[in-house]
Amino acid sequence: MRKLKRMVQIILLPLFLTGCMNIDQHILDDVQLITGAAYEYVDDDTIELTTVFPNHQPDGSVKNETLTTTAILNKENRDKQSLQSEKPMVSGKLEVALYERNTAEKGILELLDTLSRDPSIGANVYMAILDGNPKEVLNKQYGNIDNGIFLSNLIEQNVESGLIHKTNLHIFKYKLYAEGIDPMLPIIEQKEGKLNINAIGLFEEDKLVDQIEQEKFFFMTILLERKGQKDTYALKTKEEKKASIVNIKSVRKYDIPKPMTNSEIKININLKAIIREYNDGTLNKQKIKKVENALKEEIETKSEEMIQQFQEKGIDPLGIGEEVRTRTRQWDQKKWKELYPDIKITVQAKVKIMESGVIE
Amino acid sequence: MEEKEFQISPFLAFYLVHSVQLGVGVFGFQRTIMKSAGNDAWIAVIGGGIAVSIIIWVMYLLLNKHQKDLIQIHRDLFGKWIGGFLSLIWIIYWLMIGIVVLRSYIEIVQVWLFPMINIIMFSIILLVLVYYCVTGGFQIVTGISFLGVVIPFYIFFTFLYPIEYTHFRNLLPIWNHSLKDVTISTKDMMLGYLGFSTLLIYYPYIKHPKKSQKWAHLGNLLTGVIYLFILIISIGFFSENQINRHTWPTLSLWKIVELPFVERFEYIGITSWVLIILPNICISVWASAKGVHTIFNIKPQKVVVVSVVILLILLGSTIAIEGRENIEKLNKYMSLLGLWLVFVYIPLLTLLSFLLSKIRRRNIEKA
Repeated sequence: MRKLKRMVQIILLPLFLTGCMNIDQHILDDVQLITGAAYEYVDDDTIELTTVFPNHQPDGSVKNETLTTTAILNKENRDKQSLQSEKPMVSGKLEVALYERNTAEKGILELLDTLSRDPSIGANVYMAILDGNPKEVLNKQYGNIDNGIFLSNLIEQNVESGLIHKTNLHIFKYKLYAEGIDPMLPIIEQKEGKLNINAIGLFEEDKLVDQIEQEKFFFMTILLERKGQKDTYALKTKEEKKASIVNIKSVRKYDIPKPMTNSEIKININLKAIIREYNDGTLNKQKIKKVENALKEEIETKSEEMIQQFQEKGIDPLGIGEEVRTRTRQWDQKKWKELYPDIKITVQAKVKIMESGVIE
Repeated sequence: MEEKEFQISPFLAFYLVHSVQLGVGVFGFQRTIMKSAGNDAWIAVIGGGIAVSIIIWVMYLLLNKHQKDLIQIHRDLFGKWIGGFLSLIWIIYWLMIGIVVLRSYIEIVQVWLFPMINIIMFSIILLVLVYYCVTGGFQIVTGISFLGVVIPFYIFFTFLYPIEYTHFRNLLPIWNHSLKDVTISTKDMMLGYLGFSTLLIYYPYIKHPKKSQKWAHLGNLLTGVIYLFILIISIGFFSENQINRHTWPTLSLWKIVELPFVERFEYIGITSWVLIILPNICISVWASAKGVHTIFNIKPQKVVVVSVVILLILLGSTIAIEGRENIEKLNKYMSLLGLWLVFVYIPLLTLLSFLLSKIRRRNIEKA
């Protein structure tokens, strides 16, 4: 009996003590969940931070709201915004971080600190570059949700359907710190009242230096991943005639016979695709053959063109340097940076059209 | 040898060895070992595991010969005073393991979950549980270590989430670091395996202790496999310069986990980890309490007093040590002491014990 009494005491003690632990509670209804943040340098050190959060209306709809303040630090901005807000602002639900174009060109390393240091911010926050003034762009409502979630859905949906490369905070940081690969981020612009991803921004370290346009997204995605799927491309077959192609399975292989020398690097792409739409009459075997050849040529020339563009700028978003690094024991980042612009890099494609839909 | 009714089955040595090895070290070991060996750090994990296995073998040589715990061996070999002094160093070391584990865990809770948490309350709650286990006797401690391995095992499957983002090419090229770098890294990795030396004190509690050797090695193997698994994923997931910026890379791995019902997986992960560190603290506190009992010949009935004193020391040091810098320092001292005791002192002691018995035998023959 005495033993039992002692047991009960021991078990009950922690239950009472837990109340004294001084743990901060955040009740969902009592906090302002920031879903998006946009940064713009207004002068050399001062940042204008625009935060987006949802305002849940009594009828169940969501209104987009924003707050904008300027300060040197992000958290300083947060405090300033809290002074304007009815509920405390918390960043645990941050979905998207936007950087104004000029800010991105200036470098975003310092702005990344707040995202990496704060344990409540996840690694799968999407990052993007914004063409235009963040305050103006984010003030408008684009969907029936707040803009943070809207933008995150916009990027997520396009990553999943294979139109743009995989991207998030972790991937950006990985590439930023890795030797032999440079980061890239989608560029979002506002056009006729809609938001759209119109280019992919290429970084040299943390600075935006170049971009590639929509037509080249397809080549970017198949060159970037070892295995690709779902990317689409509209191939020009004749004047005004096109074929829409979907990548069923693509495999990319590097052929680097002599790493860390200026000998040729070959990138082999093996693409299996289907045709979704064709506007030049019926599709017979010869025409499919023609499409195959045209696509092969297009991939080779466009990709090489793109890689040449990268080499001229001295950037390496495809991670060719990383492929070299993992193939040699003589890796030296400095030496590689000198070698890189002059290396001959060729792309060889093998294209096979598997199917062409339910009609001929 | 202890009385039969207090003894445990030999296979439980597996859980005892493994659960005391795996603690808070898992959260940050990548950074320390990758500092010198980079992408070859996995060799260091295997190397460290093998080194520890050799030491376990040496420990069994010593223990099987004497069939006593370390404190009694000390007394036999060096007499009451010197032996007692040496035993005291070991007790301080085991106690330090407990302090380091508890303090580092609380630090993680402070940084990752609740910065304002009341450390005193948190430690008291945990230590009440430890008190219950320790005063319950060794069988309860063994039970806790069994549960502490089995229940939270699901946590290791969550490290499969980051695989979507891993670049396993980062492991290549193999062996692009010098032997010296890998050796330094192996030395750093051995710290992750520390704690198994408590075997020296619970050895008499194992039924047919010779049979338990196999299980002790297997326990060590499981620790190695878990370290290797997490390290390989970390090497693929992070770039080398990136990992150097993270204090707890393993926790940063969880930042990528996305589950429909929880936004931040760390909250589940870190709280589950209590079950992993609980046997750690229990075993180290039990080992020091048992050591104190044997050195000072305290009656078993006084277990409550000894445990309370030890737990108060634990609580006091946990509260007194504050800040990243001091915790790091404590960690450094503990690991340095552990490294010398386990990898230098134990083999020397074993050698000495065999030499001494040879000399004594010769003396007897002469006489």
